[in-house]
Amino acid sequence: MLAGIGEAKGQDLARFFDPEIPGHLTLRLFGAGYGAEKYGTTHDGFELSQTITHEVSFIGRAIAYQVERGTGFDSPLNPSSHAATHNFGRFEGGLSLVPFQGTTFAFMGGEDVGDSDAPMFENDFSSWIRLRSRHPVNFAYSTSHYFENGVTYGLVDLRAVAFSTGRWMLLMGVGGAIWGGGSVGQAKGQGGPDVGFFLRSWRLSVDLQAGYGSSRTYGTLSVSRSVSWDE
Amino acid sequence: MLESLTLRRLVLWLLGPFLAAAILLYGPAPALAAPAGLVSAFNGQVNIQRSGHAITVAKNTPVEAGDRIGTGAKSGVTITLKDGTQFELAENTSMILLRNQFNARGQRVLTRLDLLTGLVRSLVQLAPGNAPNYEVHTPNAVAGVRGTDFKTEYIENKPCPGFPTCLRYTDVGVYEGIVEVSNPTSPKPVAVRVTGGYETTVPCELAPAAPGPLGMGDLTAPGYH
Repeated sequence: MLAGIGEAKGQDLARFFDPEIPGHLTLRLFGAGYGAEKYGTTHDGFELSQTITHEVSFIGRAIAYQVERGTGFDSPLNPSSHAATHNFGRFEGGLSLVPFQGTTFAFMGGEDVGDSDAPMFENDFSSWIRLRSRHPVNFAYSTSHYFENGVTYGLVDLRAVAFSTGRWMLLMGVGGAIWGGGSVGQAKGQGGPDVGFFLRSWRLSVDLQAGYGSSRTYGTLSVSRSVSWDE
Repeated sequence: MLESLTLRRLVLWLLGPFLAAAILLYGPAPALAAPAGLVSAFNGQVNIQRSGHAITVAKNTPVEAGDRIGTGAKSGVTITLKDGTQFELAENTSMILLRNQFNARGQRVLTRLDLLTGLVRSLVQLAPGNAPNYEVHTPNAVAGVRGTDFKTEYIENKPCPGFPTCLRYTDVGVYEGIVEVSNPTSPKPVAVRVTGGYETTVPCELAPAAPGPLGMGDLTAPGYH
Protein backbone atom coordinates (compact mmCIF):
# COMPACT_ATOMS: atom_id res chain seq x y z
CA MET A 1 0.00 0.00 0.00
CA LEU A 2 2.70 2.45 0.90
CA ALA A 3 4.45 2.27 -2.44
CA GLY A 4 7.29 4.70 -2.78
CA ILE A 5 8.16 4.72 0.90
CA GLY A 6 11.35 2.90 1.59
CA GLU A 7 12.72 3.32 -1.91
CA ALA A 8 15.13 6.00 -0.75
CA LYS A 9 16.60 4.07 2.17
CA GLY A 10 20.34 4.31 2.25
CA GLN A 11 20.41 7.26 -0.11
CA ASP A 12 20.75 10.02 2.48
CA LEU A 13 24.52 9.72 2.72
CA ALA A 14 24.79 9.34 -1.04
CA ARG A 15 23.12 12.76 -1.47
CA PHE A 16 26.28 14.28 -0.01
CA PHE A 17 28.22 12.91 -2.98
CA ASP A 18 25.69 12.78 -5.86
CA PRO A 19 26.13 15.83 -8.09
CA GLU A 20 23.05 18.04 -8.23
CA ILE A 21 21.76 18.18 -11.81
CA PRO A 22 20.80 20.77 -12.83
CA GLY A 23 23.07 22.87 -10.66
CA HIS A 24 21.73 25.85 -8.80
CA LEU A 25 23.41 29.25 -8.59
CA THR A 26 22.19 31.78 -6.04
CA LEU A 27 23.21 35.41 -5.78
CA ARG A 28 22.45 37.28 -2.58
CA LEU A 29 22.89 41.03 -2.31
CA PHE A 30 23.03 42.48 1.17
CA GLY A 31 23.66 45.65 3.10
CA ALA A 32 23.56 46.49 6.79
CA GLY A 33 24.12 49.31 9.20
CA TYR A 34 24.86 49.29 12.93
CA GLY A 35 24.68 52.31 15.17
CA ALA A 36 25.53 52.59 18.87
CA GLU A 37 26.82 55.25 21.21
CA LYS A 38 30.33 53.75 21.00
CA TYR A 39 30.41 52.19 17.54
CA GLY A 40 29.06 52.86 14.05
CA THR A 41 29.60 50.80 10.92
CA THR A 42 28.00 49.90 7.60
CA HIS A 43 28.74 47.23 5.05
CA ASP A 44 27.38 45.91 1.79
CA GLY A 45 28.28 43.15 -0.58
CA PHE A 46 27.22 40.02 -2.36
CA GLU A 47 27.32 36.28 -1.87
CA LEU A 48 27.44 33.61 -4.57
CA SER A 49 26.46 30.05 -3.80
CA GLN A 50 26.85 27.20 -6.29
CA THR A 51 25.54 23.71 -5.58
CA ILE A 52 27.99 20.86 -6.04
CA THR A 53 25.94 17.95 -4.72
CA HIS A 54 22.42 17.88 -3.29
CA GLU A 55 23.72 18.88 0.12
CA VAL A 56 27.04 20.63 -0.47
CA SER A 57 27.61 24.04 -2.09
CA PHE A 58 30.51 26.36 -2.73
CA ILE A 59 29.96 29.74 -1.13
CA GLY A 60 31.86 32.98 -1.57
CA ARG A 61 31.39 36.56 -0.35
CA ALA A 62 32.82 39.96 -1.24
CA ILE A 63 32.03 42.73 1.25
CA ALA A 64 32.96 46.40 1.58
CA TYR A 65 33.10 47.70 5.18
CA GLN A 66 33.11 51.24 6.48
CA VAL A 67 33.79 51.79 10.18
CA GLU A 68 32.50 55.25 10.97
CA ARG A 69 33.54 55.47 14.60
CA GLY A 70 34.84 53.50 17.56
CA THR A 71 35.21 49.74 17.84
CA GLY A 72 32.55 47.17 18.48
CA PHE A 73 31.49 43.58 18.28
CA ASP A 74 32.42 42.88 14.64
CA SER A 75 35.34 45.23 14.14
CA PRO A 76 38.61 43.62 13.09
CA LEU A 77 40.49 46.89 13.70
CA ASN A 78 42.88 47.67 16.49
CA PRO A 79 41.86 50.65 18.63
CA SER A 80 43.37 53.88 17.35
CA SER A 81 43.34 57.45 18.61
CA HIS A 82 42.43 59.14 15.31
CA ALA A 83 38.77 59.28 14.46
CA ALA A 84 38.89 58.96 10.68
CA THR A 85 36.57 56.56 8.88
CA HIS A 86 38.21 53.20 8.15
CA ASN A 87 37.53 51.26 4.99
CA PHE A 88 38.39 47.72 4.09
CA GLY A 89 37.19 44.91 1.87
CA ARG A 90 36.67 41.28 2.79
CA PHE A 91 36.89 38.29 0.45
CA GLU A 92 35.97 34.90 1.85
CA GLY A 93 34.98 31.51 0.54
CA GLY A 94 34.17 28.03 1.74
CA LEU A 95 31.58 25.28 1.81
CA SER A 96 27.96 25.18 2.86
CA LEU A 97 26.36 21.92 4.01
CA VAL A 98 22.71 20.96 4.40
CA PRO A 99 22.88 17.93 6.70
CA PHE A 100 19.09 17.72 6.93
CA GLN A 101 16.03 19.69 5.91
CA GLY A 102 16.00 23.23 7.26
CA THR A 103 19.54 23.14 8.62
CA THR A 104 22.60 24.73 7.02
CA PHE A 105 26.17 24.95 8.19
CA ALA A 106 28.79 27.03 6.38
CA PHE A 107 32.47 27.47 7.11
CA MET A 108 34.57 30.01 5.32
CA GLY A 109 37.99 31.57 5.41
CA GLY A 110 39.26 34.76 3.83
CA GLU A 111 41.34 37.88 3.95
CA ASP A 112 40.70 41.54 4.68
CA VAL A 113 42.19 44.17 2.38
CA GLY A 114 42.57 47.85 3.28
CA ASP A 115 42.60 49.36 6.76
CA SER A 116 42.21 45.81 8.04
CA ASP A 117 44.70 43.53 6.32
CA ALA A 118 44.79 40.05 7.81
CA PRO A 119 43.13 36.64 7.50
CA MET A 120 39.81 35.81 9.17
CA PHE A 121 37.53 32.80 9.37
CA GLU A 122 33.84 32.42 9.98
CA ASN A 123 31.21 29.73 10.43
CA ASP A 124 27.44 30.11 10.23
CA PHE A 125 24.78 27.72 11.48
CA SER A 126 21.03 27.96 11.02
CA SER A 127 18.34 25.42 11.85
CA TRP A 128 14.59 25.64 11.44
CA ILE A 129 12.47 23.41 13.66
CA ARG A 130 8.73 22.73 13.56
CA LEU A 131 8.74 23.55 9.82
CA ARG A 132 5.32 21.95 9.41
CA SER A 133 3.57 24.22 11.86
CA ARG A 134 2.14 27.71 11.69
CA HIS A 135 5.09 29.11 13.66
CA PRO A 136 8.40 27.48 12.70
CA VAL A 137 11.30 28.43 14.96
CA ASN A 138 14.82 29.29 13.83
CA PHE A 139 18.01 29.07 15.85
CA ALA A 140 21.09 30.58 14.25
CA TYR A 141 24.59 31.49 15.26
CA SER A 142 27.61 32.88 13.50
CA THR A 143 31.15 33.01 14.85
CA SER A 144 34.15 34.81 13.38
CA HIS A 145 37.77 35.28 14.32
CA TYR A 146 39.96 38.14 13.12
CA PHE A 147 43.71 37.71 13.01
CA GLU A 148 44.14 41.51 12.64
CA ASN A 149 43.18 42.22 16.28
CA GLY A 150 42.78 38.69 17.68
CA VAL A 151 39.09 39.22 18.49
CA THR A 152 36.50 36.43 18.29
CA TYR A 153 32.81 37.21 18.19
CA GLY A 154 29.59 35.28 18.00
CA LEU A 155 26.06 36.23 17.00
CA VAL A 156 23.07 34.28 18.30
CA ASP A 157 19.50 34.62 17.12
CA LEU A 158 16.29 32.84 18.08
CA ARG A 159 13.09 33.75 16.32
CA ALA A 160 9.83 32.39 14.97
CA VAL A 161 7.49 33.03 12.09
CA ALA A 162 4.79 35.14 13.73
CA PHE A 163 2.54 35.61 10.71
CA SER A 164 2.47 34.51 7.08
CA THR A 165 0.42 35.67 4.08
CA GLY A 166 0.73 34.98 0.39
CA ARG A 167 2.87 38.09 -0.03
CA TRP A 168 4.95 38.46 3.09
CA MET A 169 6.05 36.88 6.34
CA LEU A 170 6.69 38.46 9.75
CA LEU A 171 9.34 37.03 12.06
CA MET A 172 9.98 37.99 15.67
CA GLY A 173 12.53 36.95 18.23
CA VAL A 174 15.60 37.91 20.20
CA GLY A 175 19.25 38.11 19.30
CA GLY A 176 22.58 39.31 20.48
CA ALA A 177 26.34 39.16 20.25
CA ILE A 178 29.25 38.27 22.47
CA TRP A 179 32.85 39.16 21.69
CA GLY A 180 36.23 39.21 23.35
CA GLY A 181 39.89 38.23 23.25
CA GLY A 182 42.72 40.03 21.45
CA SER A 183 42.54 43.80 21.67
CA VAL A 184 39.12 43.64 23.41
CA GLY A 185 40.23 41.43 26.27
CA GLN A 186 37.40 40.53 28.61
CA ALA A 187 34.17 39.28 27.03
CA LYS A 188 31.54 41.85 26.15
CA GLY A 189 27.97 41.44 25.00
CA GLN A 190 24.77 42.99 23.74
CA GLY A 191 21.26 41.81 22.98
CA GLY A 192 17.68 42.73 22.30
CA PRO A 193 14.50 41.92 20.42
CA ASP A 194 14.40 41.66 16.65
CA VAL A 195 11.79 41.73 13.95
CA GLY A 196 12.06 40.62 10.33
CA PHE A 197 9.96 41.00 7.19
CA PHE A 198 10.23 38.73 4.19
CA LEU A 199 8.60 39.79 0.90
CA ARG A 200 8.05 36.66 -1.17
CA SER A 201 7.82 38.02 -4.71
CA TRP A 202 11.08 39.97 -4.27
CA ARG A 203 12.75 37.38 -2.04
CA LEU A 204 13.67 40.38 0.06
CA SER A 205 14.44 40.24 3.78
CA VAL A 206 14.47 43.28 6.04
CA ASP A 207 15.65 42.72 9.62
CA LEU A 208 15.69 45.19 12.49
CA GLN A 209 17.18 44.74 15.92
CA ALA A 210 17.62 47.09 18.86
CA GLY A 211 18.99 46.50 22.32
CA TYR A 212 21.56 47.35 24.92
CA GLY A 213 25.03 46.12 25.75
CA SER A 214 28.69 47.00 26.02
CA SER A 215 28.38 49.55 23.20
CA ARG A 216 25.37 51.03 25.05
CA THR A 217 22.06 51.38 23.22
CA TYR A 218 22.32 50.06 19.67
CA GLY A 219 20.24 49.40 16.58
CA THR A 220 20.86 47.43 13.40
CA LEU A 221 19.12 47.32 10.06
CA SER A 222 19.98 44.71 7.45
CA VAL A 223 18.48 44.14 4.02
CA SER A 224 19.13 41.24 1.66
CA ARG A 225 17.72 40.02 -1.59
CA SER A 226 18.45 36.77 -3.37
CA VAL A 227 17.97 35.56 -6.92
CA SER A 228 18.73 32.09 -8.21
CA TRP A 229 19.07 30.20 -11.45
CA ASP A 230 18.89 26.55 -12.46
CA GLU A 231 21.71 25.77 -14.89
CA MET B 1 -61.58 25.07 -40.66
CA LEU B 2 -60.42 28.59 -41.28
CA GLU B 3 -60.96 29.47 -37.63
CA SER B 4 -58.92 26.50 -36.44
CA LEU B 5 -56.00 27.44 -38.82
CA THR B 6 -56.04 31.04 -37.59
CA LEU B 7 -56.08 29.87 -33.95
CA ARG B 8 -53.12 27.55 -34.63
CA ARG B 9 -51.15 30.43 -36.22
CA LEU B 10 -52.01 32.69 -33.29
CA VAL B 11 -50.80 30.10 -30.77
CA LEU B 12 -47.57 29.58 -32.74
CA TRP B 13 -47.07 33.32 -33.07
CA LEU B 14 -47.53 33.80 -29.32
CA LEU B 15 -45.56 30.79 -28.10
CA GLY B 16 -42.91 30.67 -30.85
CA PRO B 17 -40.48 33.18 -29.34
CA PHE B 18 -40.75 31.50 -25.92
CA LEU B 19 -40.10 28.08 -27.41
CA ALA B 20 -37.11 29.39 -29.37
CA ALA B 21 -35.68 31.06 -26.26
CA ALA B 22 -36.21 27.88 -24.22
CA ILE B 23 -34.41 25.78 -26.86
CA LEU B 24 -31.52 28.26 -26.93
CA LEU B 25 -31.22 28.42 -23.15
CA TYR B 26 -31.90 24.86 -22.10
CA GLY B 27 -31.55 22.82 -25.26
CA PRO B 28 -28.74 20.41 -26.06
CA ALA B 29 -25.28 21.86 -26.70
CA PRO B 30 -24.44 22.61 -30.29
CA ALA B 31 -22.35 20.03 -32.11
CA LEU B 32 -19.26 22.31 -32.09
CA ALA B 33 -18.62 22.93 -28.36
CA ALA B 34 -17.20 26.33 -27.43
CA PRO B 35 -13.56 26.13 -26.31
CA ALA B 36 -12.89 25.88 -22.60
CA GLY B 37 -10.40 28.71 -22.85
CA LEU B 38 -7.53 30.20 -24.77
CA VAL B 39 -3.75 30.27 -24.66
CA SER B 40 -3.24 33.80 -23.33
CA ALA B 41 0.57 33.73 -23.11
CA PHE B 42 3.37 31.27 -23.74
CA ASN B 43 7.10 31.06 -24.14
CA GLY B 44 9.49 28.37 -25.23
CA GLN B 45 8.36 24.87 -26.09
CA VAL B 46 4.64 24.27 -25.44
CA ASN B 47 2.58 21.43 -26.85
CA ILE B 48 -1.13 20.62 -26.84
CA GLN B 49 -2.39 17.15 -27.72
CA ARG B 50 -6.06 16.81 -28.72
CA SER B 51 -7.46 13.35 -29.48
CA GLY B 52 -3.93 12.14 -30.15
CA HIS B 53 -3.07 14.97 -32.54
CA ALA B 54 -0.63 17.79 -31.88
CA ILE B 55 -2.05 21.32 -32.05
CA THR B 56 0.13 24.21 -33.15
CA VAL B 57 0.31 26.59 -30.21
CA ALA B 58 -0.01 30.34 -30.70
CA LYS B 59 -1.55 33.15 -28.69
CA ASN B 60 -5.35 32.69 -28.53
CA THR B 61 -5.18 29.01 -29.56
CA PRO B 62 -8.40 27.46 -28.22
CA VAL B 63 -8.06 24.90 -25.44
CA GLU B 64 -10.72 22.24 -24.94
CA ALA B 65 -11.64 19.80 -22.21
CA GLY B 66 -9.60 16.65 -22.73
CA ASP B 67 -6.53 18.49 -24.05
CA ARG B 68 -3.14 17.40 -22.76
CA ILE B 69 -0.85 20.39 -22.30
CA GLY B 70 2.90 20.17 -21.82
CA THR B 71 5.88 22.48 -21.47
CA GLY B 72 9.59 21.86 -22.03
CA ALA B 73 12.62 23.23 -20.23
CA LYS B 74 12.63 27.01 -19.64
CA SER B 75 9.09 27.20 -21.08
CA GLY B 76 5.70 28.19 -19.73
CA VAL B 77 2.12 28.74 -20.80
CA THR B 78 -0.89 30.57 -19.36
CA ILE B 79 -4.40 29.36 -20.16
CA THR B 80 -7.39 31.64 -19.52
CA LEU B 81 -10.72 29.86 -19.13
CA LYS B 82 -13.89 31.53 -20.31
CA ASP B 83 -14.80 32.80 -16.82
CA GLY B 84 -11.42 34.53 -16.47
CA THR B 85 -9.87 31.79 -14.33
CA GLN B 86 -6.22 31.35 -15.26
CA PHE B 87 -3.71 28.60 -14.77
CA GLU B 88 -0.02 28.77 -15.53
CA LEU B 89 2.16 25.78 -16.28
CA ALA B 90 5.79 26.15 -15.23
CA GLU B 91 8.61 24.47 -17.13
CA ASN B 92 8.72 20.68 -17.55
CA THR B 93 5.05 20.31 -16.68
CA SER B 94 2.45 17.97 -18.13
CA MET B 95 -1.26 18.07 -17.35
CA ILE B 96 -4.69 17.26 -18.75
CA LEU B 97 -7.62 19.67 -18.65
CA LEU B 98 -9.96 16.79 -17.90
CA ARG B 99 -13.23 18.63 -17.36
CA ASN B 100 -14.46 22.18 -17.67
CA GLN B 101 -18.23 22.41 -17.31
CA PHE B 102 -20.37 25.49 -16.88
CA ASN B 103 -24.11 25.70 -16.47
CA ALA B 104 -26.47 27.79 -18.59
CA ARG B 105 -25.93 30.80 -16.34
CA GLY B 106 -22.18 30.67 -16.98
CA GLN B 107 -21.36 29.35 -13.49
CA ARG B 108 -18.75 26.65 -13.13
CA VAL B 109 -20.07 23.17 -12.46
CA LEU B 110 -16.63 21.58 -12.34
CA THR B 111 -13.13 22.25 -13.61
CA ARG B 112 -10.64 19.47 -13.09
CA LEU B 113 -6.95 19.54 -13.98
CA ASP B 114 -4.92 16.33 -13.74
CA LEU B 115 -1.30 17.27 -13.06
CA LEU B 116 1.01 14.46 -14.19
CA THR B 117 4.30 16.17 -13.41
CA GLY B 118 5.61 19.68 -12.72
CA LEU B 119 3.99 22.79 -11.31
CA VAL B 120 0.74 24.57 -12.09
CA ARG B 121 -0.41 27.81 -10.48
CA SER B 122 -4.13 28.60 -10.52
CA LEU B 123 -5.86 31.96 -10.18
CA VAL B 124 -9.53 31.08 -9.77
CA GLN B 125 -12.34 33.55 -10.40
CA LEU B 126 -15.09 33.14 -7.85
CA ALA B 127 -18.69 33.82 -8.82
CA PRO B 128 -20.74 35.19 -5.88
CA GLY B 129 -22.95 32.52 -4.39
CA ASN B 130 -21.36 29.72 -6.39
CA ALA B 131 -18.92 27.14 -5.03
CA PRO B 132 -15.53 27.35 -6.83
CA ASN B 133 -15.69 23.67 -7.93
CA TYR B 134 -12.12 23.82 -9.17
CA GLU B 135 -9.82 20.90 -8.46
CA VAL B 136 -6.23 19.97 -9.26
CA HIS B 137 -5.51 16.26 -9.03
CA THR B 138 -2.06 14.68 -8.86
CA PRO B 139 -1.37 10.95 -8.62
CA ASN B 140 -1.49 11.24 -4.82
CA ALA B 141 -3.43 14.41 -3.96
CA VAL B 142 -6.53 16.42 -4.65
CA ALA B 143 -6.46 20.19 -4.10
CA GLY B 144 -9.98 21.58 -4.13
CA VAL B 145 -10.35 25.33 -4.23
CA ARG B 146 -12.10 27.22 -1.50
CA GLY B 147 -10.21 30.34 -2.51
CA THR B 148 -8.50 31.98 -5.42
CA ASP B 149 -4.74 31.74 -5.89
CA PHE B 150 -2.68 28.63 -5.27
CA LYS B 151 0.04 26.44 -6.79
CA THR B 152 0.26 22.67 -7.09
CA GLU B 153 3.51 20.85 -7.79
CA TYR B 154 3.99 17.12 -8.27
CA ILE B 155 7.56 15.86 -7.89
CA GLU B 156 8.95 12.38 -8.52
CA ASN B 157 12.33 10.75 -7.86
CA LYS B 158 13.33 13.24 -5.18
CA PRO B 159 13.13 12.64 -1.43
CA CYS B 160 10.17 14.43 0.08
CA PRO B 161 11.25 17.13 2.57
CA GLY B 162 10.53 15.82 6.04
CA PHE B 163 9.80 12.32 4.68
CA PRO B 164 13.16 11.32 3.17
CA THR B 165 12.11 7.75 2.37
CA CYS B 166 9.25 8.93 0.15
CA LEU B 167 10.26 9.66 -3.44
CA ARG B 168 7.09 11.22 -4.86
CA TYR B 169 5.06 13.99 -3.37
CA THR B 170 2.76 16.92 -4.02
CA ASP B 171 3.29 20.45 -2.71
CA VAL B 172 0.27 22.76 -2.50
CA GLY B 173 0.98 26.42 -1.63
CA VAL B 174 -1.79 28.97 -1.17
CA TYR B 175 -1.31 32.69 -1.86
CA GLU B 176 -4.89 33.78 -1.24
CA GLY B 177 -8.03 32.08 0.05
CA ILE B 178 -8.39 28.51 1.25
CA VAL B 179 -7.61 25.20 -0.48
CA GLU B 180 -8.69 21.83 0.87
CA VAL B 181 -6.09 19.13 0.23
CA SER B 182 -6.57 15.39 0.59
CA ASN B 183 -4.89 12.20 -0.58
CA PRO B 184 -7.38 9.77 -2.10
CA THR B 185 -4.75 7.01 -2.02
CA SER B 186 -4.21 7.36 1.72
CA PRO B 187 -5.74 4.83 4.10
CA LYS B 188 -6.48 7.86 6.32
CA PRO B 189 -9.04 10.04 4.52
CA VAL B 190 -7.89 13.26 6.15
CA ALA B 191 -8.40 16.63 4.45
CA VAL B 192 -6.22 19.59 5.39
CA ARG B 193 -7.38 23.16 4.87
CA VAL B 194 -4.55 25.42 3.79
CA THR B 195 -5.01 29.17 4.16
CA GLY B 196 -3.22 32.01 2.34
CA GLY B 197 0.47 32.22 3.16
CA TYR B 198 0.83 28.53 4.00
CA GLU B 199 1.60 25.29 2.17
CA THR B 200 1.28 21.57 2.71
CA THR B 201 3.05 18.50 1.39
CA VAL B 202 1.37 15.22 0.48
CA PRO B 203 3.99 12.46 0.68
CA CYS B 204 3.35 9.16 -1.16
CA GLU B 205 0.24 7.48 0.26
CA LEU B 206 0.26 9.46 3.49
CA ALA B 207 -2.20 12.09 4.63
CA PRO B 208 -1.27 15.73 3.91
CA ALA B 209 1.20 17.19 6.40
CA ALA B 210 0.19 20.02 8.73
CA PRO B 211 0.55 23.33 6.86
CA GLY B 212 3.67 25.45 7.32
CA PRO B 213 4.51 28.95 6.03
CA LEU B 214 5.03 29.24 2.28
CA GLY B 215 8.50 29.20 0.80
CA MET B 216 10.56 28.59 3.92
CA GLY B 217 13.40 27.46 1.65
CA ASP B 218 13.76 31.05 0.46
CA LEU B 219 14.46 32.31 3.95
CA THR B 220 18.15 32.58 4.54
CA ALA B 221 19.55 32.42 8.00
CA PRO B 222 18.97 35.60 9.93
CA GLY B 223 22.06 37.44 10.93
CA TYR B 224 24.15 40.50 10.48
CA HIS B 225 25.80 39.65 7.14
